[in-house]
Amino acid sequence: MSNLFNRDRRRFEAFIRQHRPSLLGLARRLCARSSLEPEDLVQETFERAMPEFAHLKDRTDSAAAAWLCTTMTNRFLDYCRRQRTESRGMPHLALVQDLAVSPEETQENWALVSTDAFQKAIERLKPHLRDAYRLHAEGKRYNAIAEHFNVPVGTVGSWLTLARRDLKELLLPQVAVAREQGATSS
Amino acid sequence: MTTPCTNLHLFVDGELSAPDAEVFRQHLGRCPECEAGLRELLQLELLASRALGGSASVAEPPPAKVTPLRPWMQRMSRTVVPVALAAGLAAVGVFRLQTQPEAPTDVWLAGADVRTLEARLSHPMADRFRPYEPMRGTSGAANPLPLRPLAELEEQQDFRGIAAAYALRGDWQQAESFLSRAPASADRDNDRAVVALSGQRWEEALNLLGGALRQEPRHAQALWNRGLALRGLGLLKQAEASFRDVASLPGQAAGWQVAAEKRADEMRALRDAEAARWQRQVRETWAQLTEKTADAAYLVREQPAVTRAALYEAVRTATSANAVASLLPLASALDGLGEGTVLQDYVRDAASRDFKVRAPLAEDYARLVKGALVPGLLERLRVSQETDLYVGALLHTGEATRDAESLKALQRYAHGSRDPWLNLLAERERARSEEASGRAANAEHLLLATLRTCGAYNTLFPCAEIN
Repeated sequence: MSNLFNRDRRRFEAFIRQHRPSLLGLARRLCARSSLEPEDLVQETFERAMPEFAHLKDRTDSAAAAWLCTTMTNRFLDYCRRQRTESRGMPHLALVQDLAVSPEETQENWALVSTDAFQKAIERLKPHLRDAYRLHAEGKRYNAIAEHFNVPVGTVGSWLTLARRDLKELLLPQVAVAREQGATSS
Repeated sequence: MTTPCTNLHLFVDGELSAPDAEVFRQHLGRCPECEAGLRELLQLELLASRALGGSASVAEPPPAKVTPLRPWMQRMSRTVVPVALAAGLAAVGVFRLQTQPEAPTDVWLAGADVRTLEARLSHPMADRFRPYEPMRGTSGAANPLPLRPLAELEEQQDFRGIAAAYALRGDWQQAESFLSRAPASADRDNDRAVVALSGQRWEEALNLLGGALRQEPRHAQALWNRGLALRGLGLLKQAEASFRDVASLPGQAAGWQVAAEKRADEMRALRDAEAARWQRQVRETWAQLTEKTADAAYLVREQPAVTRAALYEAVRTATSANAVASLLPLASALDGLGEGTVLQDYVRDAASRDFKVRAPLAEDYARLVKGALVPGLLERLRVSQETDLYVGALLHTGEATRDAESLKALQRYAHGSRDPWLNLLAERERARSEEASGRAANAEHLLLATLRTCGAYNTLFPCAEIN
């Protein structure tokens, strides 16, 4: 007997298992030293994914991850704004300003970047930036990375900033190419 | 001097001190550049985490403390989400869920010592007898649904069970959507009727229950709920009968039997009280009208229905043309509330009668209004030309519900008068005669139709009198 319920549940479980660790990693960093629970942030994110799952399940891993990232970022920003409003005891007035890149555009851009593309990009970084970023991605703190390279902690910060700038520059043209391919193939 | 914006990377990497992190979070809420930067940065970090396998910051162990998920559960129960997915989230999402009590009986609030739902659900687990106590405040959210047993129920395709769990928590939307997935049965119709009752959609509930009872005439929950629907419609006599039916069913919990008996008695008492109150009001107003002590303007404004009924009696019991004619201003004021001139026409017609003939009949009719039937009065009225008195006597004695010819006379007169209220009363008598002949379903049908018509006149008529 076909059981729609079970199939949906298993797919959603698999979806959560796949994305939860990396989301939780980000959430722990965002929530560090605050009263916000990283698990709550992630849980809320998946909760929001539930009604959207019919669409999400058929998208690429990158697109789904980008969606989850945007959603979690939104939840986190909401939290920040709420905190701000509460601490200052005044109503929050939304700031209407033109952003350089809209949230939707950010999400769309990153939805097109595959993990393969990322691995190729990181190989093209300068060796010290690449290695520092790898250590960081493994979960090493700044002081551990600084010790590894025997450099001041501040240097690690600027290396990571540079690594990210370069990665973005390497990956964004790929986005443009992927878009063009998408446009020609459709 | 560093602006907070320069701290974005340090913040995302968790390298800021607690106060600096706090300052940055506050800054984030009002800095569009940092917000855009944060979005970009987090996308990149997430991608790195996925591409490089590590989870980018598994540096800390998961927190040992167990945080309650209450707020989350409550939110869930308010929004319509696919239960399958919710169950998936519950299963994978977190160990924390396991700290929620998940004994299956919790699904149907088996631990509660009272029930807050007046209607009865068909699911046996949800239909255990407990004394009824109307819900105060919003305690529904205090009983979050344990999701895992719910998922198991869905796996077993026990949609009525899931719907019952939602219904017990007042989540009618979810209850309804699960019932629509349950296979057709008397039980399902009963439960859908419970949903309708929750929205005071009495007629819809009654239709569903009718369907359920055609399949299973002795369906205890359906009979009980039918009592509730009929009460909602003001059909207290029928409601009483339905509760009596429940009480007479064998093989059920004694609590339900006693509760049904009690409800039936309540319906009877309520009906008697309402009828007595109505009769008293009409009699008092009638007395004021005949003794000319009535404040007509006040009566018309404050109690038009009672005044209308009293006007008929005042006209019928008046023993002179002048006495009848003096009621004309009141009749026209009452006519003015609706449309037409039926009451003025009636008063004029009555004033033109021959009072040598009419006065003695009117005097005996007045005795009937006070509760004493002079023997032979009905027959004298029947053969007289004073049809309005005859009709009044038929209504007082209920003769039209027993005798087909009398009923026809009543209907003829009502129709000829074009008086909507008299026509409604004639329909009521017809329904009662159907009931007296053992055709209760027809009677109910007629009464419902009559009530609908009556309701359309707004507050002009005492629709409770249709009951």
